[in-house]
Amino acid sequence: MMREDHRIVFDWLMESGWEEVSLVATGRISDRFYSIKSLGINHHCYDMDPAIVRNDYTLCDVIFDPITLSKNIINFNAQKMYPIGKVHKGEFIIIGSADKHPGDCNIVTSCQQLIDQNKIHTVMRTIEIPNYSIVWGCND
Amino acid sequence: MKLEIFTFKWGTKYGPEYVNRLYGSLLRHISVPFNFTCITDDATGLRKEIKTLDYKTFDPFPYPKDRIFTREKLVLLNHSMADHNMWIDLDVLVHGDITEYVTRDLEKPTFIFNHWFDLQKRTMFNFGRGASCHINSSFVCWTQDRGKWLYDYTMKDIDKIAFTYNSLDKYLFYRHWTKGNLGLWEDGIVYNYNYDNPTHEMKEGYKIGLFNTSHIRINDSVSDALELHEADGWAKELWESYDA
Repeated sequence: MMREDHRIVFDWLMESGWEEVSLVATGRISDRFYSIKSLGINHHCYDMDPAIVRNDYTLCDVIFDPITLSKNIINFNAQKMYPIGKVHKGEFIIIGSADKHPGDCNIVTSCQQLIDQNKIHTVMRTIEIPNYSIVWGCND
Repeated sequence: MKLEIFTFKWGTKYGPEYVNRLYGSLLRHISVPFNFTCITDDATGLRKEIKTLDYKTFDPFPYPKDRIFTREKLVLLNHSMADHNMWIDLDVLVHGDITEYVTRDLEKPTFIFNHWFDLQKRTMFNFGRGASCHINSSFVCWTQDRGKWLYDYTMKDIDKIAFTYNSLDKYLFYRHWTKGNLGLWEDGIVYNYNYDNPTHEMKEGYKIGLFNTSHIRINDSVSDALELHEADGWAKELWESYDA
């Protein structure tokens, strides 16, 4: 069964009308995200963990490495990184956690925090569920 | 051939005896001439042969100390470009000849690799969580200006780096070890007094023991992790012998 925050993001992705998307800092995600091509959405994934070995991944850090992402971006782990909207422009769905796991440098406690950090000027959706804040919006 | 050696003493965690004994250990275990400089906010009690620099004006990074902790070490890569250069932390015990290492012609700035941990089982297992580190910056050497790129890289991206990394070692591990940018001391030189198995023993054939405790007490709840001044037996005797 898909995690609640990922289920919400998947539902938003289905509503988005996007034809392509960059899936960023995925960690472990449901296979349903990998099968979205069959739904007409091309995807490519980016993660820094070499334990993830798949052809649809680029092993990198999207904040520091010179990577060009799609205009549509899902960031699954905002709590572990510098705000992606300060580095990339486009339409984002961003999940941030308040769990305070080791290695988290950006504890996310609200949607407004994600909006401010990523310079989101047009907000499509927001939702806060226990421990997670999720924002869909644009900064370009 | 010129060899420049640096250490840092700031705050009150370590007294002047740490600096003086470190210097004494290097005199005993480096067989070529060198300059020894302590970057400090309080030079009281240091041996007169030790040069000093003012710590208060040495750290140019406008961030709280808990961001890229000990980042000021990187300034040395821009400050010292002698034939051979080295920084070494106060909480280490040098007990073997290290001349061969500190006078090597190094292509890259060379750091400690935590050989006492299992890279795959411990470090890479947690890599994706951002919680791993397999680099230690307690004993670092570089040749001429071959470390300056690291200082320049850091200054260029300092906002992102300071936001992301709480410690220098983690920054080095995630940003530079993964790219192959760092030299690494081979196993057989440095061990960890508090982590190696068995703990608290001098590891035969090795040259330097690390006595750092902060990560251990926080991350692993090891209650018997000891600083140099808390150790007894062979470590205490040897450390105190460097007063002479």
